[in-house]
Amino acid sequence: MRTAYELAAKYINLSLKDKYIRETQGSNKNTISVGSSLAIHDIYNYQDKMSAEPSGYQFEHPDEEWLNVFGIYPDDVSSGVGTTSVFVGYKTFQRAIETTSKAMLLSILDGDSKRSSTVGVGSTRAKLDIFFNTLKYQGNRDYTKQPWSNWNDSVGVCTPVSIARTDNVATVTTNPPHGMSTSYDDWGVVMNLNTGIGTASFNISTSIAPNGVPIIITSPTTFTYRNIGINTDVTAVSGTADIRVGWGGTSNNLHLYIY
Amino acid sequence: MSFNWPDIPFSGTEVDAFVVAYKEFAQEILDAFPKEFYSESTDVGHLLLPYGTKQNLKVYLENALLYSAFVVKQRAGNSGPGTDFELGNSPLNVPLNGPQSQTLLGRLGCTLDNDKMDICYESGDPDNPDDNKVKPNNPPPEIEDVARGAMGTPLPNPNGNTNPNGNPPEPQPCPPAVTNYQGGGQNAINRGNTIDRSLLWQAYANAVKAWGLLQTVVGRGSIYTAGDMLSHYLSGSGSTYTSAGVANGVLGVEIRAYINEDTVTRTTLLNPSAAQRSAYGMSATDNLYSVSFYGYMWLAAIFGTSFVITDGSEEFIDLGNTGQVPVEINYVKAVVDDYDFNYAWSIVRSASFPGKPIDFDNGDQVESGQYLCPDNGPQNTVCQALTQNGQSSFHGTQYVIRLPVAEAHGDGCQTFDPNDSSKGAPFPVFITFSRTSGNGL
Repeated sequence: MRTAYELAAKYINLSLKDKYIRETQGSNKNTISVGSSLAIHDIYNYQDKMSAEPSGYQFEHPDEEWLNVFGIYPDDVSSGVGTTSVFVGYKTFQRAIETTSKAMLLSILDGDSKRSSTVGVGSTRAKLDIFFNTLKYQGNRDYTKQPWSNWNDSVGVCTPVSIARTDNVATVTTNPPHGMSTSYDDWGVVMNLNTGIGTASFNISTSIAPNGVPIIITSPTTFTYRNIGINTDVTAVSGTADIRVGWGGTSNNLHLYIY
Repeated sequence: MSFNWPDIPFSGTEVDAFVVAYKEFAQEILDAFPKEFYSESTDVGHLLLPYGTKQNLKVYLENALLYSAFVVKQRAGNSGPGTDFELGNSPLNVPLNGPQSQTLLGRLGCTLDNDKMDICYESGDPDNPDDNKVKPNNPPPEIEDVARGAMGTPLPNPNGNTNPNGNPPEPQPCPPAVTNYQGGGQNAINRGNTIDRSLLWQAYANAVKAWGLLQTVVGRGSIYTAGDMLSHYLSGSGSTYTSAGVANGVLGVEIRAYINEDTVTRTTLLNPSAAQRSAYGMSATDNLYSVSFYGYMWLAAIFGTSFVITDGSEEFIDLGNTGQVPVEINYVKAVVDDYDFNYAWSIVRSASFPGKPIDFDNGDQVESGQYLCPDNGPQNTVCQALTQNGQSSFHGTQYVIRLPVAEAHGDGCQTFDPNDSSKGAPFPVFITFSRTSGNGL
């Protein structure tokens, strides 16, 4: 049976989860150091920084329970987290904690819970509605209630006038200035370009990324986002960049020290 | 049911209030959970599986408190520990005892070899200005426990490396099922086992195939393929595996369906070189992916992570951070891999691409896998290789395939002879699929 310590060891991530942030944040190291102490970075950072979508059970298959009749599973197959009768892998465990963390923030904090650090005044019933509504299968959600009723709301639209792509990072220039404050690192964008060379490859599908993709603000009139494709020179474009807000990037990056 | 709350190593007006509210609300969640508190549409049965039991939710709530509080602390912008991500201000400091540290370091891949640690210590010692390395006249301090580090005559290692400690593989407590049987097929070395294990494993492979044949009726070709590939390995043929026989068509459909279940996390689009395209017979429009098959145990057992060639007719969507991913694969033309193991024979390519015949004449090699025959450190028994030196229990789905091939190889470092089929042999996999209903049509 897996001990609490072993579970914790598996529960630790040894690398920054988000490649883009890792590459663009020079002060963040994705390594460990072994000397007088062992420093392990990034035990926590939301896997999905933009969405409130809960993660479900991972890497299991209906066959597995049936196959267990033959005794080919680990002894702790029935002693996963809690008293569940099926094994819960550490990835399921880790993602479930992330989801639960999101559900609690959504339930407890005031407003739409974005950027808020103050406790709301909702009733227990209202908070429970939000909490369980976050954890449901899509078909059973109440989309008239939080978080789904307002999570993907736009907070503004800016006008891109040109775009370029270098090393799988797209750089957008806007006119007038986009107006986003650099004091936040939770901005997201839904690009919807109409004209220009290869603009479709820069666009973001809201069916896949309903709250947009994370961006990095580089100046009052420019921002970047990860966008895989061939290098593209600066190209004039028309269309919109719909601005949204997620959970936060490096500011939510929790590290751990082990001595 | 009461909570075991972790300590929150930071404070502030906002985060303190949040922690109080969090704990109160968490208790309300558990109190409400088993009751029909809501209407039918909000019954807990509609929750995603990980949150379906009260006990699970309790654990998640306990563990989520720290990170939730950290997020609030970050947003509040207070000063003090926990407010930035400089390591010196890390809010957590978890002491580990000696065995725990050793276990963790081992799992991180750190070498716990005495000599190497001494050299590392000497190099890193600030009081050692001349960077004096370990020398015969400057021996490292004596170490009382030499059970795993006694000096001796190095054992020759057929892979060309040297066993620094000179120890033969150490005996480990292994279940009775694991013996030093060696080999596959009719030439296996049974070493006096009462039950001829070569026959046992052949029977096992055939049983998997028989069961897998039944499963093809319900659209699963991977189980039959697992048995067939295991049988091919144990036979020691080493020839390229090009078809899963009667299950081939079903396997192609299954692979396509598996990939399309989650193209985002299971596929990585590759950019093959002209030489690779030529070697794999890819047209200019074909696409090559690296596909992780670890989402389904039987596909994982036979392919792990492999190349998949498609006809290139799929559309792509750009997911920003995640990159360019196919919306849906239309036709899986081939799956390409090497069927080799870290705990048995391993193919080392230097002259050819995976999935192509092993080019022994130009530098390709077959060596004992790293878990049996590490480049540095003592050789391992089959038991040690499969159980990480006894740290994990000797059970699990993965051993459905691992145990037979590891036993066929035998303990420690071995020399591979392409003409000797007695110990099994790794082989290239290049399975091609025709267009069929569910795969391309």
